[in-house]
Amino acid sequence: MRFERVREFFRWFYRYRSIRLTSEGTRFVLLSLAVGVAAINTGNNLLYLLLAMMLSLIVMSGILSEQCLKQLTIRRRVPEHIFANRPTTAALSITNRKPRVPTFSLRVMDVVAGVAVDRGIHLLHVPPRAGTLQSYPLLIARRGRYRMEGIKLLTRFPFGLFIKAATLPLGADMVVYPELTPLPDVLVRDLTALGHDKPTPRRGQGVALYNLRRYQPGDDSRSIHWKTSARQARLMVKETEAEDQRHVSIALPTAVPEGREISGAPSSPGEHSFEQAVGLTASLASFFHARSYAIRVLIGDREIPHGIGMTHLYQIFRVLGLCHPTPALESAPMSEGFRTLGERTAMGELTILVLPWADPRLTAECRGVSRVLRAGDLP
Amino acid sequence: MNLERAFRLSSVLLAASGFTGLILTGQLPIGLVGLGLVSLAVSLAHVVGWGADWLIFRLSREAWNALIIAAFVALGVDFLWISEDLLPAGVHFLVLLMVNKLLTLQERKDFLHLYAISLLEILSAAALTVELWYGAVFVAYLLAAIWTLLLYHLRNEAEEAHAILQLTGGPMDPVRTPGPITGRFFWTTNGIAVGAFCLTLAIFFVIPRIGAGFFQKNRAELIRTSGFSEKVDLGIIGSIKLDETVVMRVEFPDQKGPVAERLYFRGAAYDVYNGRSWANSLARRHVVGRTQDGVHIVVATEPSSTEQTGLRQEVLVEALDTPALFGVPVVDSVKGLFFLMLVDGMGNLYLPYLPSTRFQYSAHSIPSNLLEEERTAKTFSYPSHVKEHFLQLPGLSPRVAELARAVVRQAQTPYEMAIAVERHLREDYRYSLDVGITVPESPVEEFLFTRKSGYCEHYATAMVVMLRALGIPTRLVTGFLPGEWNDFGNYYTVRQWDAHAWVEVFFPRSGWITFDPTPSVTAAVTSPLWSMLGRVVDSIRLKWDRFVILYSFRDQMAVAQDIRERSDKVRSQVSASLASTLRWVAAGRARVAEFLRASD
Repeated sequence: MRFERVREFFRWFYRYRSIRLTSEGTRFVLLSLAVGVAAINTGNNLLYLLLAMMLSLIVMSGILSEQCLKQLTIRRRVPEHIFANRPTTAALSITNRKPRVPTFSLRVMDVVAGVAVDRGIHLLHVPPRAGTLQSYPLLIARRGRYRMEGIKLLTRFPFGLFIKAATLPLGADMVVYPELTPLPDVLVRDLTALGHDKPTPRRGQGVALYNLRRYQPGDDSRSIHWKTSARQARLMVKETEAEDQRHVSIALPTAVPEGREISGAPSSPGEHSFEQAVGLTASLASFFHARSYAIRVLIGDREIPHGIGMTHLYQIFRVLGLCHPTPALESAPMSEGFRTLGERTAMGELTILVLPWADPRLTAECRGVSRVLRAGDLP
Repeated sequence: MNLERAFRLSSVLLAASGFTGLILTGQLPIGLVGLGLVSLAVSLAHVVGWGADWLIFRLSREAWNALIIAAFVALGVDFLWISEDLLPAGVHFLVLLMVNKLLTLQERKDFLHLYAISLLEILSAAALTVELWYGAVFVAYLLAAIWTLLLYHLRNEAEEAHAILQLTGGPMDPVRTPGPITGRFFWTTNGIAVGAFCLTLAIFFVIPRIGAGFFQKNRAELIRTSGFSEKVDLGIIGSIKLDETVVMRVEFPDQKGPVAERLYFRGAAYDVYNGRSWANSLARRHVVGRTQDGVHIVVATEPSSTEQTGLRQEVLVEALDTPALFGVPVVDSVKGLFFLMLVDGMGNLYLPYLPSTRFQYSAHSIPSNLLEEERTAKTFSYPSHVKEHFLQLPGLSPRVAELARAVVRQAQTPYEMAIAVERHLREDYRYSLDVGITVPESPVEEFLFTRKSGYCEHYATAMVVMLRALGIPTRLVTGFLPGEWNDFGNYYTVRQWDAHAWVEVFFPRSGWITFDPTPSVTAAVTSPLWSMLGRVVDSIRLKWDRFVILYSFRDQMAVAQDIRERSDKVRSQVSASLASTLRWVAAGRARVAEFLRASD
């Protein structure tokens, strides 16, 4: 029991500070041992003096490297929206809070899933009471949650005999959106044509309430919502949906049909199909957003109602980033959204069903949708 | 200065400091010294940009490797036929390797090899010398090593940072590129060196001295002394009276300044005089007892009496060619790092072996005072063995005895006779080292009646034969006078020219009492500044010897004991003051309570 506690303590201790020998350090330590043996064998005090010098260099290495790693403030800045396989830029702000002592030879790494990832940040000199902002490219291969657990600081200062590392618990949680890929030309043409053959209502001010917000100079006074303004004692205006807004519903089932297994491994065929479907859904959302469609998405049981704007789009990306295949029960009823996908649509609304894999039951159920796409079938 | 140049300069200086250590050992042939110095100068000129590039890297790598192989062959030849010892041969080989590296410094590994060579050089120097200069070389080496290792590391880091920048195409941020060596960096690095030096000293004194010196090989030459063997020719001390070589240094830890009375460091005593030389007929030695604390007891005394009246001496003796131990008479105990100590019938103290290096010991003496009743006693009854050994005379002319009787004609007691002879010799004879080249038939008669000048041996021998002629047991003693008092280190520096001979006169109850018939000699006048500098350097040398070269497990135990005693003292003082505070508080409370009762 006591031994376990000791081991636990050392595990905790080494999580924050660790030290290991470099190749030069190994030679130096071996040489020190040899001098020590010579001193003991000869009883020569001058050899003891040299041994003391070598040991003092080792001790000084420990003291000075600790000074290097002390009183550093690190802040990480990561972009708000990150897409899989799309390079982005993160930044680390490193400040030396020591009043007199500079920091030398500092390497800064991210700790991801317990592994230090070198971002190429190598600082030779950070003066006292000074800081620096270091940006680095960040490329994440897979969508989903991405957690940076901390920061690992390494230094070989002062003599390059040891590598001293300190781990700072500076966590950062991100949701990586699915990879956006350009849609095939064939599909683009098809979708464009599909949009145009639908009837479009007249242009003008709509009536369906979209949002209530505070009055801003320049707003049409006719749009003031007097009841709410009276209730909140400040001017509020109503925003209505434009009547010429085209609508699109994109559905992505996440239930894995009977007889198909998802191993969870990224390289497995089922998982790959699902990822392709997620990517296609995100790309479709992006495509329709660029064409000012009001987009509604159905992702498994989750429904995001029609909406426009970047915030809405990022909400869709976020849900897509976090969705994952779920096992479907034979007796489980199909969700309301999917059952009515081909029926309950606004005027001129497009409905697109993106299938990760062949699902005859769903295809039969959603017979009325505008298009059924299978990610794997696209060129 | 930029980082690269500073790095190369410090690397060359590191090699130079290691090489200096080797040169100062005196073990390098002049050719290798010249070769090493030239290569250092060329490398230095190349680093500082004085245009020595034409000399560097002229030869190809293969040619240099061929030279290394040749040097290795030379090492074998040197070891087998020239030096016939691995250490000198290895040192010669090291110099050749250093020359090679200095002239081919290009890659990172070349610098690492140079550092390893310089470390081996300074290690070899440590094995070859114990002199004070090694301390200076060591400090220089430590400073250069700190600079070099630091700059080597920063240079490597700069190279790696540069490689990363090239790979990522990042901006040339000031924090990612090496700057010049600034004044702040200079002083910071020197501060690190000072810190490392202090830490080195701390570690040096703390590392347990578990070494027994099994493979220690002494290479120091012994200092030749005269007058301490079993047979001493008259006049032999005269040959060293102009030699200023230091033979020992003596501290008196219980005294604050120089000792008031005249001191003699007794080495050997002789009883048999054959007219030309002195001999010791009681030279049979036996081992003296040793206590558990390592103290060799020569004369058993009451501890309380000796502690109060004794004289403690810390003696640091150079590597002399005699096993004799020196001390102020009468030495009653000796403590040192030797398991055995011998004493002969004359009270002479010896080590059982010839010490090959300088060594130190602590001696304790009790003064030999003449008892008042013996000062005034007219005759003594001497034991037969005393009469047998210490009244012996060679075949001298009757003039000697007549002179003795004439000198002491007014003396009533043996003590007064001794004083009269001592005064006569001091006042009527002249001190001179110039006694001629030819050895007379009877040097003492030559001294007494013809030349009437001589040095300590003549004076002492003359007094011995005159007192023996009067029937007073006497013997000749050789040793050293205290020499020069060093007020910087609070010790006496004893040199060869302080060698001295004097007389011991036997009194049955008081023992052997010292008499010195040699007149005082005025020391040669030297420049005060030069003399002061000499004393400062000598005191540093003593501290170097005592605290570095001869620092031992015994010293560590003494320091530990001292710390323990001090901490005990502090603890008792703290507890005493706490107790008194508590008593004071309790008394205060009692008084307040009494006052309150009274007021009620």
